[in-house]
Amino acid sequence: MTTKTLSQPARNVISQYLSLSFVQGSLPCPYFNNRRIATRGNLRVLIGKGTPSDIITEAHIIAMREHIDLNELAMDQLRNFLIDHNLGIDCSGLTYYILNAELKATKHISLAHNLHYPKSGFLRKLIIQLRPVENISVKVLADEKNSQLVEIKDIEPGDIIIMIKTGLQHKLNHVLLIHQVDFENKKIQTVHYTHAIQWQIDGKYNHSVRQGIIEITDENKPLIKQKWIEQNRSGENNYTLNHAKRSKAFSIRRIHSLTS
Amino acid sequence: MPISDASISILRTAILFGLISSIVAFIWAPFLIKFLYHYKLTRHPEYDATLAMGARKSKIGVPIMGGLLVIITIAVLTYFFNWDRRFTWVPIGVMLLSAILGGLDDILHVYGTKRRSRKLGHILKLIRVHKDWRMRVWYSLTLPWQIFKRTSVWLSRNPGKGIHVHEKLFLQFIAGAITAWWVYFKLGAYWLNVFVPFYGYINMGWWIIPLIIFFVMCTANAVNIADGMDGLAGGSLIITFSALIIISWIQGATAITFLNATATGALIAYTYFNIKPARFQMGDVGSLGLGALLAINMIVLNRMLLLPFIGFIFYLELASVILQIAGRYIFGVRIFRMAPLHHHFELRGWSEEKTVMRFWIIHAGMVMFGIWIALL
Repeated sequence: MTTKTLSQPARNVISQYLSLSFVQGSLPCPYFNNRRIATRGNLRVLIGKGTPSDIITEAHIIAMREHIDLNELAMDQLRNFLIDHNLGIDCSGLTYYILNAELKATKHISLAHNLHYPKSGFLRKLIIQLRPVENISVKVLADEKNSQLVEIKDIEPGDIIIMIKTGLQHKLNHVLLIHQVDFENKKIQTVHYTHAIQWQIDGKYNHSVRQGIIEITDENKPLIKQKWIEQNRSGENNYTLNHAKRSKAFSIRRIHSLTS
Repeated sequence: MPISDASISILRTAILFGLISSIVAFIWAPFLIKFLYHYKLTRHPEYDATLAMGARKSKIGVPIMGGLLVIITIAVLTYFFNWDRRFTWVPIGVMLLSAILGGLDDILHVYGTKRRSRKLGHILKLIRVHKDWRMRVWYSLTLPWQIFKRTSVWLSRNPGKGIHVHEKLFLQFIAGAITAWWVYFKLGAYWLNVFVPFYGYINMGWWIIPLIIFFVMCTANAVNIADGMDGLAGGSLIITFSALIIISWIQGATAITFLNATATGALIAYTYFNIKPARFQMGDVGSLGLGALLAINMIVLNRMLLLPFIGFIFYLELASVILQIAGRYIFGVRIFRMAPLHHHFELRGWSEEKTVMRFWIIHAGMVMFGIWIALL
């Protein structure tokens, strides 16, 4: 069996999000979606677009401001502290940082400056120049000018799985990033993905950056017909798969910058 | 060329002013400390987040308003021994006005209650729906002030119990306007010419007025911002006012030389009690007053544009705060771990003593450079 993975710097970004380091140990970065509180003009770390070091530094600064000794919190208290203070990452922010690291390592370019932003207007363009990460959404990544469709048999690390208008009310967009692909006799066996998500059963505090796998049982069937496993759950109990099934538009895409 | 006896005599008198000021301040400092403890004018953790930093917890309960030592000593000694209708009364007046503003802020932080601040959306709604038409008119007329207020609150994050930022800026504007009025209408045509380093003098005409207001406001706030560590503002101000003694003496501004010497002497006594572990801290009463005095000094000496050098560390701290706000709202990132700059280094693991002493040294170097340019 052969394996294709992202570059080391991109894998480092993933592992940093999977284990935010604190004195008492490490914990996965929580999920945060700014859609709920709709804050504007704030620090990027407080709107779900921070780097792992941004999140850790901000946690220390907030703790200091609130006279809390972060080092004395138990791991679950620490996780709750992060979530209560809107410290986390959203799915497109996570994808951005991983892909950016990949592009810098392999192509020596940055993702933000090689994307097309559908929104127009002088002010919006200026804001995008100043705060690119905050303006990268699932829709921007899925835009025809930024990415192209990929067949299952052609999947490679760095490809993204896009779900548009998913969730119970079809109001969510979601993206998964493929970080590893396993091959057997040049045929794809398993696709490994990373994403930031909150399942319905997670409640307020049990969500985070997670990884899962998709076992390709039949290359000719669409991806949602394959076997998705995450958190030891598959089939109907796998809520990521449920999201995929509910989405109005589902696609596997590859950012143009990765191919050029 | 030998220095004239008259000049030496002025310098000798200036040093005497400094020594007397220092002795007077040393004598009444214990009474001030007792007074501040008695009325519990001390630092409270709920409105000072930095007190939660490990090394700064010891500052809880330390008296504020120690700057009164310097302000009152300067004002009293100048009033009795150096009163000059042309040169000292307005600087002392503006210093006292700024100090009163700062003192009020210090007292309200201890004894005040948190004040309500309506959001702009709420006010706009009241303009439309308030049942009393007079109130609707009132809210409409005061809308520009409310916009100014909300913007200030937005940029400053936590107005707390003291004077709000928009009020502080307004009162500082008045202090700057008084200085500008004095310079423009009372001092004479020479002061309308601004010294530009490496170029010479430029006649500013009435443009001198906004320039003066700008520098008075900036400098007062800059010293205020730098007053966050034991000994930092005091030590830096000693260096700055010592430099001003040299510049004013060389320019032959006798009354200003004596004023600067008085300030330096009082600051020596203040800093003796303020170095770690501090017996008291300057508070807004001292930092705003001395900041205004520093700005007026440079304006009177016609070296206003050299303030970023002569008051280097204060302007550096001010710049760090402006950059931090710009970074937050424009780029969405923290440029420093915490602003002002001294807290950034503290969070990076520098001890308070190390930060303060390094800042003093850098400041002294830049002040020397400033003196060199001032004498060109």
